[in-house]
Amino acid sequence: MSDNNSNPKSRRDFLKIGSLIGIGAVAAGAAGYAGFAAQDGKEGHGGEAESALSDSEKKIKVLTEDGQLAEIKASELSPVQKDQYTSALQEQGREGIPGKHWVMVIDLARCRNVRACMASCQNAHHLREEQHHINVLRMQESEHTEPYFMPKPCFHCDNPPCTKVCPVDATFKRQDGIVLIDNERCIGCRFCIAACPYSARVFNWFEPKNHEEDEDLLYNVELNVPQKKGTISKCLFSADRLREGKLPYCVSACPNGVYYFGDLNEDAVTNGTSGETTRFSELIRKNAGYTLLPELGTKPNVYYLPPKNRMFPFEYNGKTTLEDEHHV
Amino acid sequence: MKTKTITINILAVLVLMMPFSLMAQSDWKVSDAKRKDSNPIAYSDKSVKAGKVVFLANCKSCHGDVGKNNGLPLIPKPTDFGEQAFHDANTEGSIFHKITDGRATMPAYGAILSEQQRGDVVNYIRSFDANFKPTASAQVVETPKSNDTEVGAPYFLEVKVDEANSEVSAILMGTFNGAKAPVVDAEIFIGIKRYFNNLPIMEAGAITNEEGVIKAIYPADLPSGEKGIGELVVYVVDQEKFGELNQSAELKLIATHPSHFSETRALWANRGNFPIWLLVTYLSMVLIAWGVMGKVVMNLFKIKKIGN
Repeated sequence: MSDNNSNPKSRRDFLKIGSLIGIGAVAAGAAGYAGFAAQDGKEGHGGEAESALSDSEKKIKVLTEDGQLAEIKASELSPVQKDQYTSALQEQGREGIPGKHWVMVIDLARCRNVRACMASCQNAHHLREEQHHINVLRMQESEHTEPYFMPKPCFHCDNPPCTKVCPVDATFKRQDGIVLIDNERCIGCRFCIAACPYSARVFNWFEPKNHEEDEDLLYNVELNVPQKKGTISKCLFSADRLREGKLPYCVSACPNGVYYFGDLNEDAVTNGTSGETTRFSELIRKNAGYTLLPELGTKPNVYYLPPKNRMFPFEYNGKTTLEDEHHV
Repeated sequence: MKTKTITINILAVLVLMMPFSLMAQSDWKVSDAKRKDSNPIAYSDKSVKAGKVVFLANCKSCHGDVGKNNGLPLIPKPTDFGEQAFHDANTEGSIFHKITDGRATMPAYGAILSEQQRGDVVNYIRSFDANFKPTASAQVVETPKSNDTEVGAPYFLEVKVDEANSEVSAILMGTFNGAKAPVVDAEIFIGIKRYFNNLPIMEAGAITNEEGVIKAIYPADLPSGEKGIGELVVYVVDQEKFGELNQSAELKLIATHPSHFSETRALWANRGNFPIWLLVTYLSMVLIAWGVMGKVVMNLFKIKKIGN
C-alpha cells in the first residue's frame, strides 16, 4: 500500500523536474536566438546609409538550394528547421527518381588522360587529392598489346555486393539504380570496401577537405557533402545533378567526348561534350560495348566501348608504352 | 536562357583568348610538299553536301557552327571556318593533312574517317572560302536557284505523323506575294524528347526539299515511359532568320518496363530487412526452449505437491 502511495508523488516530481529542464532549454534557445538576432542587427546597421533603411526594407543575401546568390527582404526571411530539411533531403535521397535507370557509357577510344572528370568530381564532392570517386587508370592487358586509359567510376551494379554486407543499411540501392552511401548512418566498418570487386569505394581516413568550412552545411546524401571522417564515400552518379536534369559532373567536364550518360528505360544516352543523344542499344551494338568482370554477376551499369580507332595515340610521361610500369 | 548564358560565357572566353588563338593558329604549318598536295576528292556540290554531314557528326562538337564562332573554348582555339584568314593561310592540301594527322587537341582523323570522307570535309570547309573558285576541271553542279530571297516572313512550321509507316514530315512554309510558299534548303531538327537532350531522328544536316518538306523515319521500338508515348520535337535550326519556330506532337512508341531491384542482404541490422523465415524460426525456437523450461519447473512444483 505504501508503495502505491509513493508512486504518484514520484511521478509528479519527475514531471516537475522534466518541465523545468524543458523550460530551461527553451529559454536558453530563445536567449541564443536573441543574441544571434542582436548581433545580426548590429552588423546590418554598421553603415550609416544602411541604418536609414527600416528593418522591413533591409535585404539579406541568401544562397539558394541550387547554389545561386539571391536577395530577399529581411522581414520575409523565415528560417528553415535544419533537422526537418535534412530529413527531407534524406528521404528524397533514399527514394530516387521514379521510372529511371541510369546508365553510363565510356568510350575508351577518346580518352587521353586529361583528368578533367576527376578534377570536377573531387571539387564537387569535396574530396582530398588521393580520394577518387572516378579514377583514370593506365591499362595494358599483356606485354604485346596496346596500352590505353580507362576511367573507372562506381559501376552502380544492379546486383551490388556492397549493399548486401552493410550491417547498418547505410549503403543502399535506389529505384533508379544508383547505389548511394549515407554518411550519417555509416559506422566505418568498411565491409563494403571489402565486398566491392571494382574497388570503387574510398574511406575518409583523415579529416575531409574543407571540413571546417563545411561544418554548417546541410548534409545531402545525394552529394555526400559534408564528408565525414571515419566513413565511406563513393561515386554517386551525381544524383543531385540528375534531379535537376543535368549530366553528372565528370560527364560534362570531359573535353574529349569520352562519356555518354542516360536512361536505360528511355534507351538514350547523351554525350557530355557534344550534347548529342544516341540510342544506347545501338551504340553498344555497333561498338561492341562491354562491362567489366561480367562473370561476377554484379550486372554493372557502366559500359565500355573498346579503344578502337583511337582519336589520340597513347602517350604517358612522353612515352607511348607502359614499359616502366609493372604489368602482367 | 541557360544556353544563352553558356554562349555568352563561351564568347567571353573566346574574346579573352583571342591573342593566344591567333598565335596558335598561325604556327601550325604543314610541310611544303603536303601544302602543294591537292584534295583527292574533286570539288562538287555532292561532295560538299556529304562533307557537311561528316562535319556535323565529327567536327562540330569542337569547331561549332561555321561562321557563328561558337566552338569550344579550348587552347588553341578550334578554328571557325567562316574566318577568311584561315582560308588565306591554308591550301586544300594543308587542310587535308591537318585533318589526317591532327595535332594537340585536334585528333588525327586518318584512322577514323576514310579518304573520301576527309576529302568531302575539305570541300565543305573550302566552300566557305570567299576567294575560292573551283578549278575548271571540277564538276560543279549548279544548284537550282533557291527562292529563299523571295519567300519571307511570316513562316509556318507544320508537322505530320504517319503512324502506319512510322514517318514524320516537317513542312516549312513562308509567305510569297501574300500566299504560302515552301521554304527550300532550310535546316530543321526533328527529334524525340529524352531526359537530357532530344534524340535526333532526321539525317544529320537534313534540309528541306523543293516542297519545303523533310521526312524522317522514327524508331517505333523506342521505349518511352509507362504509357509508351513519346514527345516529338521539331524546330527550325536557323533562329536568326526564321525566328523561334517549334512544333511538337505525340508519338506512339513502346512502353517501358522499369526494372525493380530486389535486394537480398547478407547482414541485417534493422527489422525492415530481416527475412521473415528467419524471424519465425528464431522466435519459435526461443518459445519452444522457454516453454520446455517452464514445463519442467511446473512439473517440479507438481511433484512437490504430490509429495506433500
